[in-house]
Amino acid sequence: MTNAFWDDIFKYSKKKSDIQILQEIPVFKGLSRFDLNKVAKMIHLRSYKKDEYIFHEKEPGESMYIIKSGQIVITKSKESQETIISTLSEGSFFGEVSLVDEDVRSANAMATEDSEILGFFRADLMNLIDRNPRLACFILYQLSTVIGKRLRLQTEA
Amino acid sequence: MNSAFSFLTRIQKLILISLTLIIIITIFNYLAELIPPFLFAFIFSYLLTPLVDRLEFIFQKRIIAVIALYFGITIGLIIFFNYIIPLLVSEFNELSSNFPFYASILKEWTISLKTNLETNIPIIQQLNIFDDIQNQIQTILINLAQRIPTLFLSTFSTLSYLLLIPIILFFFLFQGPELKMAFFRIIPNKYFEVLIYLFYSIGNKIGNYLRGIFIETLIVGFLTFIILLILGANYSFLLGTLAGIMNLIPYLGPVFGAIPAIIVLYLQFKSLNIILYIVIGFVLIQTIDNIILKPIIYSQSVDIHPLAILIFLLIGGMIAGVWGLILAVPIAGILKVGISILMKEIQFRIKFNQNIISTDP
Repeated sequence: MTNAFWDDIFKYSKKKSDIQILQEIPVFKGLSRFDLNKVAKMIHLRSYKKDEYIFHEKEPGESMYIIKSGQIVITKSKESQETIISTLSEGSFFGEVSLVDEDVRSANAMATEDSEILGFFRADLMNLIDRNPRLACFILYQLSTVIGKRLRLQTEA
Repeated sequence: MNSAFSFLTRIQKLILISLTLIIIITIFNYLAELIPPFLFAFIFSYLLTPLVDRLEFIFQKRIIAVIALYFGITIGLIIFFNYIIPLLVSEFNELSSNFPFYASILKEWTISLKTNLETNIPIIQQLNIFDDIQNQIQTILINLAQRIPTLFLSTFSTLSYLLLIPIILFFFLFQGPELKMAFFRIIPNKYFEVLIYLFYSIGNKIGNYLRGIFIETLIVGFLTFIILLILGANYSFLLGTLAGIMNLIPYLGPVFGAIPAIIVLYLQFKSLNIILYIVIGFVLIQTIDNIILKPIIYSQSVDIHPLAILIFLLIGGMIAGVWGLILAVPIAGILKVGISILMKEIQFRIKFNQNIISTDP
């Protein structure tokens, strides 16, 4: 039951716009508002119900996802058992490797509550190379920084 | 979507889907007149979207890019209608007024051929083959000569199309990305990624293919025009245009394009040397087309079996005459590209699903 007295009734006004969310994603960090607006136009807003899969392991990956609201778990299937690798919440992103790699997904992603997710597609990024090379280059550069950082942490660990 | 219809059984779903399909088809049947402008606008928007995207990069605003494109197209059309169409029409009128002359020369030629052959091979005279052929050819030629002026214009004469297409096209170009997004929004989550992938890969291939065909036609037509101009032929522009368009039909098209040019040139100069030159010219153009243009233009070749092309040409010709013949191959190419990507994807998915099932207990 909702309780108007205790619930955060101002939650809606606190809800960030897509652009504000994008601004804080490392992949789009440092973009001007003008460019962010362009990126926002290419982004697909999807809503997922609780327990709905966003993608499966070994499925061909096409896009990176940013969580606008809700919670997502990343799991890996091992001998018919799914082990949770990571739990992501609002403002996190995942699947960014698919933007540069045409290989299959390496994990499952499932919504653990009703979630809104922004999808950014490789095809759109490839189109952007033609349309706006400067912006596309910048995003690809930031993307490689993110992937490089992940790689370094992985090898250090 | 799934949850809303989950209470229906498979058969009920099937019936529901087929009913909706029937309703849609009947509606389309009634509104059949309205479909072509939308279809043409859609095709044009496919061809022009990359251009608008590039212009958008220059002008930063999509609306300005579209307006700039329309401005350019208007200038192009003004030039087209002021210089190129009158040239085509005048050459065309000249050719049709000279048509009886050509026909009579052709007749003379066949008669001389006939007597020549008949003295050499007497059987032919008994069978009367040549008279039959001559009669047939004459009727075909007369029919063709009467129909030529309407042949190309009949399907495109409706003025309303000419007004509607630019308006629809404007919105397709200007709001294309938004329309696409709106379309994607209604796709269920389960198929979302696959469908977007299919949409882009098929769309890209088809766009490249159509643009390739367009550029190839222009270049081949222009080269033919230049060669005919150098040889000093009459109607060189008309013949060049014809050769360019005919080049769309694989294998036979270049021959169809060359035959009128050869006939006109022969009758103009009355020497066999000129035929040799023009044949060399056409071979040269075909070589350039096949060795240089095609590999550059079509990064990924769309090869269709010659027999399939023949069938498509026959069907196209049956349905829509000359335009059917010309459009048959591009449409076949679109179908081939779309279906091949779809099949590959479906096979991949089936394999993937089998993997899942085999790994699951």
